Amino acid sequence: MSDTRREKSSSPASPAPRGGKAIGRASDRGGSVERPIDPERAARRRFRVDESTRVPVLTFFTGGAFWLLAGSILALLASIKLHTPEFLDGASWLTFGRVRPAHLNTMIYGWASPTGIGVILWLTARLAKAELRFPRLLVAAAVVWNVAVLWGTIGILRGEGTSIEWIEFPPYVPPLLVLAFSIVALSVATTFHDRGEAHVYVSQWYIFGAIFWFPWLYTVVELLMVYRPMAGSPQASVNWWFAHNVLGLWLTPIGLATIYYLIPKVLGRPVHSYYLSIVGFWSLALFYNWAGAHHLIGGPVPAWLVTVSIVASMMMLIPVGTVAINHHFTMVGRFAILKYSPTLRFIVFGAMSYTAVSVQGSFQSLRDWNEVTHFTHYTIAHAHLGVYSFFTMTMFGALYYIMPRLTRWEWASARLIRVHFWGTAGGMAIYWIGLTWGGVLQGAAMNDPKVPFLDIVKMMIPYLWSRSLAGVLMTTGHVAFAALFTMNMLHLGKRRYEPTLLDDPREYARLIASPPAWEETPAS
Amino acid sequence: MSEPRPARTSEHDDQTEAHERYDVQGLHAPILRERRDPRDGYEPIPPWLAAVFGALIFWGGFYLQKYSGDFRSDIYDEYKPSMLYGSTKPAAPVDPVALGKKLFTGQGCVSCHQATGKGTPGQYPPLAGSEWVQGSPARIARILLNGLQGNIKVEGESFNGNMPAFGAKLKDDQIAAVLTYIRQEWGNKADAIDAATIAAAREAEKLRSNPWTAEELTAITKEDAKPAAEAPKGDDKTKASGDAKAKAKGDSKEGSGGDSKAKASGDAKAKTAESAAPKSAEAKKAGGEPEKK
Amino acid sequence: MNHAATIFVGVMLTFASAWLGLVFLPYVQLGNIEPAAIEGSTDAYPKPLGGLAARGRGVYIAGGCVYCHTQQIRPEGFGADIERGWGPRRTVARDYMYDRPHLMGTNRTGPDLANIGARQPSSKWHHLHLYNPRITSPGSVMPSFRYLYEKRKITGERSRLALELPEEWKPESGYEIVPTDEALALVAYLQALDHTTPLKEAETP
Repeated sequence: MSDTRREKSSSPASPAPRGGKAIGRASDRGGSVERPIDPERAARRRFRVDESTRVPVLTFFTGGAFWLLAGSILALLASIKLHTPEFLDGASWLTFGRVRPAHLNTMIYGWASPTGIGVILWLTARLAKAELRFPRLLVAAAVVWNVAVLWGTIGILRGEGTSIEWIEFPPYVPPLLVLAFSIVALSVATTFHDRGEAHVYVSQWYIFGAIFWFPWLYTVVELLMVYRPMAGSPQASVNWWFAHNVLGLWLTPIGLATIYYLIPKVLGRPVHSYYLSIVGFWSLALFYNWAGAHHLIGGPVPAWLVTVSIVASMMMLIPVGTVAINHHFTMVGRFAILKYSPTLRFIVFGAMSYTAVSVQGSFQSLRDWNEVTHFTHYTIAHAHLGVYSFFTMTMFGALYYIMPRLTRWEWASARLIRVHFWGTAGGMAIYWIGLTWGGVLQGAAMNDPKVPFLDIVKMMIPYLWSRSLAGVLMTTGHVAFAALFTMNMLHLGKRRYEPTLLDDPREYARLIASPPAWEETPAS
Repeated sequence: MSEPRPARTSEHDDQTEAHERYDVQGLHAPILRERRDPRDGYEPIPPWLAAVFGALIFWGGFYLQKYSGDFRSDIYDEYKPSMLYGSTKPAAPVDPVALGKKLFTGQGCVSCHQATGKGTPGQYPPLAGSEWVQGSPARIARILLNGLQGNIKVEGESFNGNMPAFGAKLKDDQIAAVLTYIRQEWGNKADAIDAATIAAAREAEKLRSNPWTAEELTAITKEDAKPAAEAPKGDDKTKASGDAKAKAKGDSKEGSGGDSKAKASGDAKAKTAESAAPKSAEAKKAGGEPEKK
Repeated sequence: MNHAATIFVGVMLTFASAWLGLVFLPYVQLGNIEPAAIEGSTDAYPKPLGGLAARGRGVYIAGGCVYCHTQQIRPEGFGADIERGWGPRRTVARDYMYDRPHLMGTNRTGPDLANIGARQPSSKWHHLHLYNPRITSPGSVMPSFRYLYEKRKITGERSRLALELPEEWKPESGYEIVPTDEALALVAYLQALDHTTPLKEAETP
C-alpha cells in the first residue's frame, strides 16, 4: 500500500498526498536511502506529534489511574472476604460474588484497556510521524468509555452482572464501549494511513492487530452470549475464546508493541532481529487465537476442541521464545541501566513476566498438569502474572516514559517511584508464590477423595491471607503511583530539568555514553 | 547514542503559549533527552531455534491426530477415539462389592459419609462400625429406599441430617450391592444383602413416600419375608406404615419444595403416593396429632 | 513488512481461522442439540427449568455464585469429581442445552454444584446454609446470604417458612428469620440442579 502511494505521489501529475496532516513530504518517506537526519527538524516534528496526542492520551490515562485505584480497593475487599467471610457481609452489593467481577471488570475495562488505548494512540502518532487524527472525538470517546465503565460497575454491584466471566457488564453497557472503541480504531487507522514514514515498525504490526481483533472479539461474544445467547456448551467455548483472547489478542499486542518500542528507544539501540520479530508476530496471530478452550479440559465439550487448544497453547512457545530471545539480545550488556531508568525497569520486568506467564500457560494446558491445577487458585495466580505482572507493569513503564513528554513536567519524586516499583513487584511476587503453591496443594488435595472438602477450605486460609498481604503491597504501590500521576498532571513539586532517575544521573550518563566495546556505534 | 541537541527551535517557539515562552529549557528538556527511534537489526534466526520449533510442530501434529476423537461432537474422552458408546457394555454379572463401591461414589454417598466411611463429625453419621449399617437388613434397606430425616443416634453420637431417598433412582440389585459394600467395608463384618431382600422391603413399603425417622425404624423388629413373590404380611403392616406416614408428615419441617421433589422422583412412586393419600389422611385423623420429639 | 494491506489481510485471516474453529464449529456441532429420551419411559432429559427455579437461576447469577462453584463433572480418572460423589457421570453438552448463559464456572473455592439437587434435596438444609454457611458447615468461607432473609417480629403464629436456627444463631426472642421470595427461588433452583440421568454419550462408571 505504501509503495503504490509513494509511486503515485512522486509522479508530478498526481495530486498532493492524501491526509494533509502528514508531516514531511512524501518524497521524504523513502526508506531505501539513509538520509542524514536534520536533528532540529526531527525534534520539532516529534514535538508537534506528541503535542497532538496530549489531551486525548492524558484523558485516557487519567481515567485509567482512577480505575486502577478503584479496582485495587475492590480487589482487597474480595481478597479479605475469601479468608474472613464475615468481613462487611450482610450488604448484597458487597457480597463476594459481586465485588470480584467488579474488580475484574474495572481492572480490564477501566484500567488496562484505556491505558492501553492511550499508549496505542501515542505510539501510533509517534511511529507514523504524523499528528493524531480526531483528537476531540477521542476525548469524547474517553469520556463515554469511562462513563460506561462506571455505569457497568455500579450495575454489577447492584446485581445486574451477567455472571459470564470477563463480560459481566450488564447489557446496556457494551454498546457504549463499542461506540467509544470505534472512534479509537478510526483515529488509529487514519493516523496510520497518513504516516510520514514508509517503514512499518514491528510495534505497529501489533497495534494494527489489536485494534482489529478487539472489536471483533467483543461484538461476537456479546452477541452470542448476551443479546442472542447460544445454547449451553458452545457458549462455554465462545466464553473462553473471548476471555483468553482479551489477554492474548488485545492486551498482549499492546504490551508487546510498547516493549518493542521502549527497550530500543531507551537504550538507543536496534532491535536484535527483524526476522525473529516477523516469526514472533505471525505465530502469535496464528496460535494465540486457538488456545482458549484449554480452560475447558474435562468439561462438557468434545475432545477435539480441547485437544486443538492444547496444541495451540504448546505452539505458543514459538512466539514467546522468539520474542524473549529478541528482547533479551536487545537488552544484553545493558542490564545495568535498570538501576537508573524507571521506564526500563518496569518494561523489562513486564517483558520477563511475559515469557514466564506464557511458558507457564503452555505447560499448564497439558492434561496431566491441568488435572491438578484446574479449578484452583493456581489459575488466579497465573491470570495475575499475565494481566498484572506483564501488562500492567509494562503500562507503568510506558507511562513513566510518555507522561513527562506530554505534561512537560518531570516526575516529582524518585523515592515514590521506588515505592511504586517495589510495592508492585514485591506484592506480585508474594501473590504469585502464595497462590501458585497453595493452588497446587489445593488441586492435589481435591484429587484425593479421602480428604474432606472442608479440610481443603481450611488448608487454603494461610495462602489466601498471603494474597491479602500482597494486595496491600500492590495497593501501596498504586497509591504512590497515583500521587506521582496527580503531581505530574498538576505540575506540583519541585521543577526539574532532567529526567527523574532512580540513581545517580551522572553514573547513568556515563553508562549511556559508553556502550559495550562490541556494540556497533549508532549512525547518528 | 543520543541525537545531537537542536541548537534552536525558533519556529516552534513562536507557537508555544505565552507563559512557556520564557521557559525554554523546561519546555525542551523532554525533547533533548530523546534517543534515536527504534530500528531493526538483522541477526539471522539461529538454526537450533528453527530445529526446536520444527520438533514442536511435529509433536503438535502427532498430539492432534491422536487425541482429537475423530472430530466428532459426541466423543468427549480423548483416550477412546473409536469408542462407540452403549454397544459394548459387558452383560456379565458383576461382583456386588465392586458394583457397590462404584455406586457409593457415583451416587454421591461419599460426599457426606466420606471415602473413609467415617462421615463428617456433627453432620453426617459414620458408616464404619455403625450399628445401623451392620444391624437389621430390613431397617437399612428402608433407609435407602425412602431416606431418613431427623435425629438419629449412631455410635453414641447424635446427628440431625437428611438422607436422600434412592428407591426411585436405583434398582433392587443396585441397592443390595451398595448395602453389601458398606456392610463389608472399613472393617464392617455383616452378611451380604441380596436383591430379594430389597424387593421385599420395597413391596412392603410401596405405599410410603416420606422419609423415615429413627424411632419408626427402631419400631421395626421383624425382617421381611425373603421371597419377593409372597404377599407382604397383611393388614397390620400396611396400617403401621400408614401411621408412620402420618407421623412423618407431622414431623416434616420441609417447605413445599421438598415434597414436590419427592414426587418428581419417580412416576410409579408418585402414583402410589397419590393412592395412599386418602388412606394416610384417615390414618392421621385416627391417630390424632402426632407427638413431636 | 511495509505493506499495510498484507498485515491487514494476514491479521484477519488468522483471526477468522480460530473464530471458525472455536466459535462456529462448536455452534454447528452442538448448537442444535435435542433432549434425549429416557430409557424405559416417555420422558425426556433435560427439561427446561420451571418458573420458580428459573427465577432462582437469576438469583444465583446476581449473587455471583459461579465464581466459587462449578457446575461440571470431569470424567472418571480425571480429577476426583466422581469419586468425591459430586456426580455419577461426567457432564456433557446435552446437560447444558437450556443454560443461557452457561454457569459452568472455573473455580472450586466451594464444591461443585452440578448435582446439588440430588445430593442435598432438603430445602431446610439449604436455607440454613445460605443464611449462614457456618451453621451447617463449620469452617466454610462462603459468604452469608443474610440479605436474602428477613428478620421480623412474630405476630400471631410463627411462619411456616421460618428458619429453625440453632441456639447460638437465633435472633432475639419474639423475632423469626424468614426467607424472602428470592431465597425461596434460589433454593428451588439448587434443588433442581440434577444431572444424574444417564446419557448414552456419557459413560456411567
